[in-house]
Amino acid sequence: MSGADLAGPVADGAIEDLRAAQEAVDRDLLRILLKLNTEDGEDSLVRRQGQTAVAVYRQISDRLAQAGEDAISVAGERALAAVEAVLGAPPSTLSLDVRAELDQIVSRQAADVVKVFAGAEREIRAAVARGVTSGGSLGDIVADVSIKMRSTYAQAQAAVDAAIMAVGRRAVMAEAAIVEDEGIPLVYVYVGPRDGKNRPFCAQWVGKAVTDPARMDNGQGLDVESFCGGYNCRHSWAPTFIAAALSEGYSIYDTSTTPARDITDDLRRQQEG
Amino acid sequence: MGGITVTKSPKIPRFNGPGIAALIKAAVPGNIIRRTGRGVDMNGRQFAAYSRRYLRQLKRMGEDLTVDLRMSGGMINSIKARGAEVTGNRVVITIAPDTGTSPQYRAPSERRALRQAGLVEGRFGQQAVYRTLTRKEGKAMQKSLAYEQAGARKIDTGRRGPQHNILAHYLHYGTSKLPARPFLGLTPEETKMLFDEIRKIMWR
Repeated sequence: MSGADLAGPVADGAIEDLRAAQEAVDRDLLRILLKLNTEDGEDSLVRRQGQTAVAVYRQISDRLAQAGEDAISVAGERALAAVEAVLGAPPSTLSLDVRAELDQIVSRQAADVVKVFAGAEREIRAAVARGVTSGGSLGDIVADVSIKMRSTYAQAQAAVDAAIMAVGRRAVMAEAAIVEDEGIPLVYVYVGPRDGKNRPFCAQWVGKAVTDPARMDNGQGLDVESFCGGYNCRHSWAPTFIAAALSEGYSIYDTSTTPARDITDDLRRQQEG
Repeated sequence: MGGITVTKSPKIPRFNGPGIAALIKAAVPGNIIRRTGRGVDMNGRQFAAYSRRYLRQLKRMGEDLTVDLRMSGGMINSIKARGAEVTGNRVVITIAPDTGTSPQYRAPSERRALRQAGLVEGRFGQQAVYRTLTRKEGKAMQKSLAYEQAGARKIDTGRRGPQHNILAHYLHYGTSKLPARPFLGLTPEETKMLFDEIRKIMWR
């Protein structure tokens, strides 16, 4: 199994750990809240129970702070494991540059996961503080925290998934680069769905072939070879022989010039000659 | 009689195993990804159509309706060389999806909101279920209905799909409820084109 291949299961493990952490927080929050035993229609804690409510809010706030720290530690450990999986057993054919690129992809995504949890922890604490000072409804605060936890989890998952996809694409592109170095020219067909959800970059390039994706800009500040149109992009690069791209009717663009130039006819003439 | 004797030792061409391996690793995943994206299987035939139910779901998710075996793109993107064995006169490359997973998605569904509120319609042969909701239940149902009606989109269920290699196995061979859509392989034309390229670098 190659290093790039190991990154998937490691990232899946990270997702499982994050899910377990989220479930533990949900359980603990419920336990804290159940102590209040408020009656229906009387869920405004500050109005009804005064100091008790403030104490409970404090407990919630402390538990969330701990959850934030736990999540950061889980994400940190897993990020390290993912990097080790990729770098510890890299495919023997991959050059050092590619190993460094894979390392960068995983590190960037791991940092994103940490940022997501740190940001969520701040926002949740602020929501709880607002509840304490304004005497808001317990139900509203619980709902706010729950929504934030769900979206935090979804964002963390998206960051991990983006890493899995990027590492997979990078592995294919790295093999193609080795072949190009051997003197066999390839072009890269942009494959994937065409629908209303396409980003402008994807809508422009899907179904076309290019000479060098590394020179393209998706407007997201992300490497086009690994991330295509950006995070959660559903598209892929398919390395293709020029003869195959021409016979299957793809338009081929030279991306070393700006704007990219259609060189399909030139290549066809070269092949016929 | 004097003269010069020239001895020429012939250069014996060697089998370029590593070069062929690199060529296969680069070209074959690309071939599979490209052809599957066009909705064509490894025998050069169009894939079996999606069921009407699945097409309805794709429409509600705002997805492309082409039969391209792609939802998040995770499985297709993970197709790559997973093993290589190169000897003096033999090259064996294993190309397959990896063992990772992708998020599982669902289409928005008003029926789901009704079911959550206990208003199941026609489930056990009933024509309709009449039930009075409390104010709290009514509010929850209104919220959940608004969520399900907020336009065509994919909703992340929070669960993960099967491992990419297992999913690919089911898609390739089919099941009792799923037609086979063989995609992990090359068409005869693709094989010929690959061998043409291999021939160019076979000896060095």
